[in-house]
Amino acid sequence: MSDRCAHLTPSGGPRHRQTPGGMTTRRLLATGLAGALLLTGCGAQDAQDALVGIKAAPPERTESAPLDPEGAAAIAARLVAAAEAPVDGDAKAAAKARAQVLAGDALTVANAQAARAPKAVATTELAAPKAPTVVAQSAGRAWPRAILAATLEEDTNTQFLHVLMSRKPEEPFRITASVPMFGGAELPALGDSTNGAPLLDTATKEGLALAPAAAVAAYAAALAHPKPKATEAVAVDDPFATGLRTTAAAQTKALGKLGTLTQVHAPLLENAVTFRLADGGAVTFGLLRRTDTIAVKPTAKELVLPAEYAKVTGKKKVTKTLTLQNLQPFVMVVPPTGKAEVIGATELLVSGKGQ
Amino acid sequence: MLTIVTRVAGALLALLGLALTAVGVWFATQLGTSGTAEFSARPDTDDPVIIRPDVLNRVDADVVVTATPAEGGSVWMALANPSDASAVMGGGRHVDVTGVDVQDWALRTSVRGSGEVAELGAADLWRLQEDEEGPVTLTVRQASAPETLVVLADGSPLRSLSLSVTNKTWFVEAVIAALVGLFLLVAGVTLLFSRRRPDGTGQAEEPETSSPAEIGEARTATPGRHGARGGTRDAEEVAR
Repeated sequence: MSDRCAHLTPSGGPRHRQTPGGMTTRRLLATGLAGALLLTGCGAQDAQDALVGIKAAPPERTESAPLDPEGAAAIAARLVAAAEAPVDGDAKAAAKARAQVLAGDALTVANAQAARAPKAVATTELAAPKAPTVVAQSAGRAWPRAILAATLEEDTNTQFLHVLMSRKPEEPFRITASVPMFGGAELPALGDSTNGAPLLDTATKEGLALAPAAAVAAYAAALAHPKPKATEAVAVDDPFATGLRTTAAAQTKALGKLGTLTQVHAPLLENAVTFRLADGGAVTFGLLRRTDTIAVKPTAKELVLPAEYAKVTGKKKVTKTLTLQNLQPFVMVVPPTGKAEVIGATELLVSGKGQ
Repeated sequence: MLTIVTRVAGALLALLGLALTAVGVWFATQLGTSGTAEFSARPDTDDPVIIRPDVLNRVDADVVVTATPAEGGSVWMALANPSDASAVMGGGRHVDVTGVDVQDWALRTSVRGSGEVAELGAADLWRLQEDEEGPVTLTVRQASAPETLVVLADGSPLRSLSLSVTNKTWFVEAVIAALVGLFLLVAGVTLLFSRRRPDGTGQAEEPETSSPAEIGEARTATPGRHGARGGTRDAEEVAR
């Protein structure tokens, strides 16, 4: 065959072959064509996207804090300001306004306070003239969500901790707890606010020395008067507990043979909120209800009540018993090991009954 | 065989070049020297319109979204985490922007869900909100990606929604595509219409010099196997 070709192409030899330049051009063209065909093939879309700088959208970090720090601070500032703002109108309008800003324990306390002093439109517990600082947010994208914010009340140099909660996507945040911290008390770190602090179930142990609910129950029992229940789980030498014991002892002494005082603390943890701390511990915001009962002894004819008690009971004196209800918002730190401690608390006398 | 392949390759190359040139020129004229791509839709709806990250956050450049209500209405626009936006929408009826159509510079939309959507403005999950009467424009920065944009008209239906992205590189790429296409077109045409040798085995090439053998070939070569061979002999003899 090659022999034949040689004869049929008399100008053969080197001149039968394409020139080197022609070969290169054709190879280039063929390569270009192949490349172009590849581009129009199955990988064309990806190639086009890459060519014009189109990429896949970045994935969402669903484990981090849901709000950026500025957004969380704006929400906290809005709510703290609203809680302080005076409300025009009657008690019903005031109650409605409170419910727009407060929820949970904070609303319970505020409503109780409003019932005692209807003209007061802002609760002293929520007074916070300074812009709040966001301490932490709950982690993840699930609801409920929480923001922990702090404000400083300059008049008393008291640091307040506020818990803001949103229970459903369409529900705005509301303040559910506002607790003053003890002087010198410190809240352990909750980690980077952009990462978020997981919310824990108050009733479960979850790597803690004991479940926050159990710690609160132990603390409540330890505050009982006249028979406190000793506990190794919770420290009871904080200013709040010390003050309660001192006051109870003073009242008992004042009553003398006229009556007996008993104090019972009941944990109200339906609306409690617990954040995980950076060290593996937890901080719990909850509420205690303290019930004071003074039983008038037979030796006493009657007990004349102080003005404050007379106001809540509507009676100036009692002959049998006096029962007083106090609400006590508190914040307790439960470490991974060791004793839990209360770092902030307050109380409000909300109601009373005398016979 | 090689000729056919070459011609087919040339034709394909020319077609590809033509297409690339046309596409490049079209994009260059559409994008303008600023490289701005604008996609729009006319939802004409009272339902929320959702633009998700797979539309908003696929480029590095800022995305500018403008929503215009019908006369007398206002528009509320807000950005949120994608999962938050989905959660607050629930299963409520809304219009989803599912992508863009470059051919028509249109936003592709689809109606999803059923039932009423919760009051969106009350939720505390929005990273950025804009609420005004008349057209509202919001710029989506890619630094915060991924985000979902929710648009809701109040008082009148949402008349139009546009999304624009400016990337000067796109104009440059369009021009380059046109030039490359032009090159391919020329190359393809060259291959397709290149002059052929009489025997059809390849491109004809003029003899650089005339040799006695060639002269002999030209004079004595005759068709057929033997004739060809005899011609060669003659040429050799002439050469001697």
